[in-house]
Amino acid sequence: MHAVAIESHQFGENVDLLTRMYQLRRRIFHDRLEWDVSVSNDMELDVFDTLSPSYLAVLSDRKEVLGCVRLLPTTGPTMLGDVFASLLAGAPMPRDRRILESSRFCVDTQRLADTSTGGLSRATFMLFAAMIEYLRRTESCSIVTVTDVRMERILRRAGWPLQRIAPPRPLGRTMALAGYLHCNDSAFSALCRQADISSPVLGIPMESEQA
Amino acid sequence: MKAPERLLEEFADAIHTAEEVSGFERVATRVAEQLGFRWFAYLDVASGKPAIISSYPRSWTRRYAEYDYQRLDPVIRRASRENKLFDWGGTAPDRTANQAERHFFDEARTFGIKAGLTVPIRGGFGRTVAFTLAVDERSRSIEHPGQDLLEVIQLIAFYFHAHLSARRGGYLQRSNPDILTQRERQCLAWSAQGKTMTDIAVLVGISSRTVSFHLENARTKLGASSIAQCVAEALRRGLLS
Repeated sequence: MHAVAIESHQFGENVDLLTRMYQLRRRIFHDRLEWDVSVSNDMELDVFDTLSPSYLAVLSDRKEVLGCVRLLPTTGPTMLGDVFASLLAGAPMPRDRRILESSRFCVDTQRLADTSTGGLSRATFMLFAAMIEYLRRTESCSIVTVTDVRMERILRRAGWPLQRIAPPRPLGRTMALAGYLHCNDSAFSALCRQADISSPVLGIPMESEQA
Repeated sequence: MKAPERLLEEFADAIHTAEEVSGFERVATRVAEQLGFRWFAYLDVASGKPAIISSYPRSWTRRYAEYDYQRLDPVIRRASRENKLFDWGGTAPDRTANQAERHFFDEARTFGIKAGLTVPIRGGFGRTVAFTLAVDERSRSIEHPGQDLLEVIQLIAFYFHAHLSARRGGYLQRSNPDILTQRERQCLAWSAQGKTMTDIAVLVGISSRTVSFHLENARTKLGASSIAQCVAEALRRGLLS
């Protein structure tokens, strides 16, 4: 299991990886959570994927995508500011070069539930650790995100607590909220320890098979 | 031909800079040809009149719009039903086609359109969009395309749709207040005042065909299904003030 970061200029050489990521997102967000997202074939993709996002992904040794998250600068359009502004409850939308917005965080619970060795939490911790390492790498200080209370609990238990912007509100079938995740050295060490990995967490994306 | 992955990369770069419908059309036309196809077509089956962006012969798309062919078009009907990329118009006769559908394909063939691959996309709220790459008699065969190629086509279709939706949804419009030309704004503004095409033609001093052309362009740009909706959308976005 390892983590990678894919920047928009690397999309062409990572078609397989992107496809698998969009496929996982479809299974999670469309099929399981039943969000009204646009899907095609077996993939999910939305307008925010067109804004040159960066993606972080956790891959299995067989190069399956086990989890992924999308990161966008808050200086452009954001899900929190443009779609879920009600979750700000009047607070101003952070627009800062050093704050990124994460969205579409997901882990392949189905595939990982079968592995007996705590694979699910390991992939989750690894993806969290990758997010902190990415903040450091880009000299950013925080992530702002729209999430739900279930995920907030997972983050707290993992030792990387969410700083709430406003209290949770019902949204669809969940209690949604917006909050900050700060670049935090002790959280990073705790996550690495729990995921049994060492820094640097992020490797280079997979090389093209036919190269 | 360059590797499909390389073409996808170029496409992804180019689609970023596409501003108006003509820009999207240019980018998709280019990638379709580079992938060995003759044409591309993007058809958004919203309520009422579908919006078509394509490199098909204009005489064909005009005819298609005029006769509401999306109701008959077996490709669109299949795209509304199915979730996976499919091919159509191959050599094997389609025994399930009825007479009207066969007639439709025969007519498409008179414009040179022979076969194609179509990617169905479900927008939110039950909307169907079909992205097609098509070939003519002279194109190389598209039977048995490789998995690589299919994945790339799938992504191209989805990126095209997502970028166009982003433009229309206004996410990117803040950087682009000049989405409408001056003429388009002028025609829409008169239309908002309740003037007919003939009135506008007189008021602006152009032919009513040209008025219709500008209004139609504005409609496509704003992703509206009628001129009335287009006027409402332009007012909502503050484009006519």
